[in-house]
Amino acid sequence: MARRGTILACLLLGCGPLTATSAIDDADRALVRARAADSERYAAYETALAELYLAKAREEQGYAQYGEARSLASEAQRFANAASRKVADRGGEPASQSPKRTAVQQR
Amino acid sequence: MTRARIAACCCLLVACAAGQASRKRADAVAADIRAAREQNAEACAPQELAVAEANLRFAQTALDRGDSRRADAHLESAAPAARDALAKAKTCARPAVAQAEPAPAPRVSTTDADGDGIPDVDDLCPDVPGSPERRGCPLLTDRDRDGVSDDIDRCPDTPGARDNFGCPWPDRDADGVADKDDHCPDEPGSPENQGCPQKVLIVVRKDRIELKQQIHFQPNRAVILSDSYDVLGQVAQAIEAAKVAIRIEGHTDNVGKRKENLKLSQARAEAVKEYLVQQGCEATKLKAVGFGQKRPIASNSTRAGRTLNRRVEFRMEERKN
Repeated sequence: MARRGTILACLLLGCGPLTATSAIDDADRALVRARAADSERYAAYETALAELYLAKAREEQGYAQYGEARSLASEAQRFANAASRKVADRGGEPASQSPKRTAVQQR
Repeated sequence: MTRARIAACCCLLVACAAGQASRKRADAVAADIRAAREQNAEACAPQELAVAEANLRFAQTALDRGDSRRADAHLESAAPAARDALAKAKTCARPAVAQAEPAPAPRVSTTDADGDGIPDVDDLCPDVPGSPERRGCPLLTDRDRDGVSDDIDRCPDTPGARDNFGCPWPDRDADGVADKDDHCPDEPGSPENQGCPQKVLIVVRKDRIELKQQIHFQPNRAVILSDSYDVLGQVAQAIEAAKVAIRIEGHTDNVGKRKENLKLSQARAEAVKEYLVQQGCEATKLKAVGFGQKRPIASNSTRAGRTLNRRVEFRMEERKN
C-alpha cells in the first residue's frame, strides 16, 4: 500500500513540470503569433504584459514553483491572445494560426 | 532555549515589519498605476504601465507567500515604471475625443421672392407669381387668344394656327386664302374659287353672248358636263344683268341623221335653259331652239370643224328697254 502511494506521489510530482512546460510553450506560441501580427506596434500594452508574465512563469518554473508557473503562463497566453485580437480588430495583419518559425525556434 | 525563542520572535517581528513596509510601497505603486491609468497611460505609456502592473502583481504574490525580498525586488521595478507611466501620461494628453461640431440644423428656405405663397424652394418659377397647381408658375397666357400659349407662340400678338406655331399662314395675295390652300397664291381670288380670280369665260356683245369655252355634253345626249357649269354660271349672271330675252340655240355637226341631229340640238338647248333657270334666270326670258346641222360655222369635213359646229349659242332677241 505504501509502495503504491509512493508511485502515485511520484507521478503527481512529475506532472507538475510537464503541465507548466506545456502551458509555457502554449503561451510562447501565442506570443509569437501576436508578434507576427505586429502586436508590439498595435497592442504594446498587452504584448508587454504577455512577455513579462511569460518571463515570470519561466522564472517560477526555475524555482520549481510549477503551479505558479502554470498560472503565470496562462495569464501570458491570455494577454498574447488579447494582443492578437486587438491587432485583428484594427484591421491589421491577422495572426497566423501557424506561427512563422524563427531562427531562435529552429535552433 | 529562551534565547533562541527570543531571536526567533525578533526575526519574526522584523519580517513582519518588512512585509508591512513592502505592502505600503506596493500600495503607493498601485496608487501611481491607478493615477496613470486615469491619465490614459495604456495608450501613452503602454510599456511602462505593463511593467509596473506586472511587477506589482508579482510583488503582491511574493508578499502573499511571505517573500518580502522578492517582493521588494519587483517593487523596485514597479515603482519607477509606475512613475514613468504617470509622467508620460500627464504629458501625453488624453486624446481629445473629437467633438463633432453640432451639425447645423438643415435650414429650409422659407423665402418667397415672388410672394405667391409658395416658398422659393418649392417654386419652379421663384421670380414669377404662380398658382400652387402649377408649382408656382403662372398660368400660361395667350394674348392673341389663338389657343396657342404665348410661351410657344411665335406670333403672340397675332392669332395664328397651332400648326404654324401660332402665326397666321402666309397669304401673299392677301385674298384671305392662305398660300397653302391658294391655287393662285399670287392672284387674289375668292375662297370659292380656291383663291384664284374668276376667269372671264364670256363676252357680252350687242347681239349675243360670246362664249370663250364651249358647253360640253355627254356624247349624243343632252346632259351637261360639270366642266361647263362655270361658263353657264357667268352666262346666267350676264342674262340677269342684260335683262333681255335670250334665245338659246343648239347646233350639231353633220354626223348622223339630220332629224336626229335636230332633235338632239333641241334637247341640248332645252337642257341649257333648264340649267339657267335653276341658276335663277327667268324662264320667260329664255327660248330654246334646236337648229340641228343647218347652221355650221366651220367645215364638217374636219374634226376640228365638226367640234366647232357642235355648240350652243346665246342670242339676244331684243332689248326690253
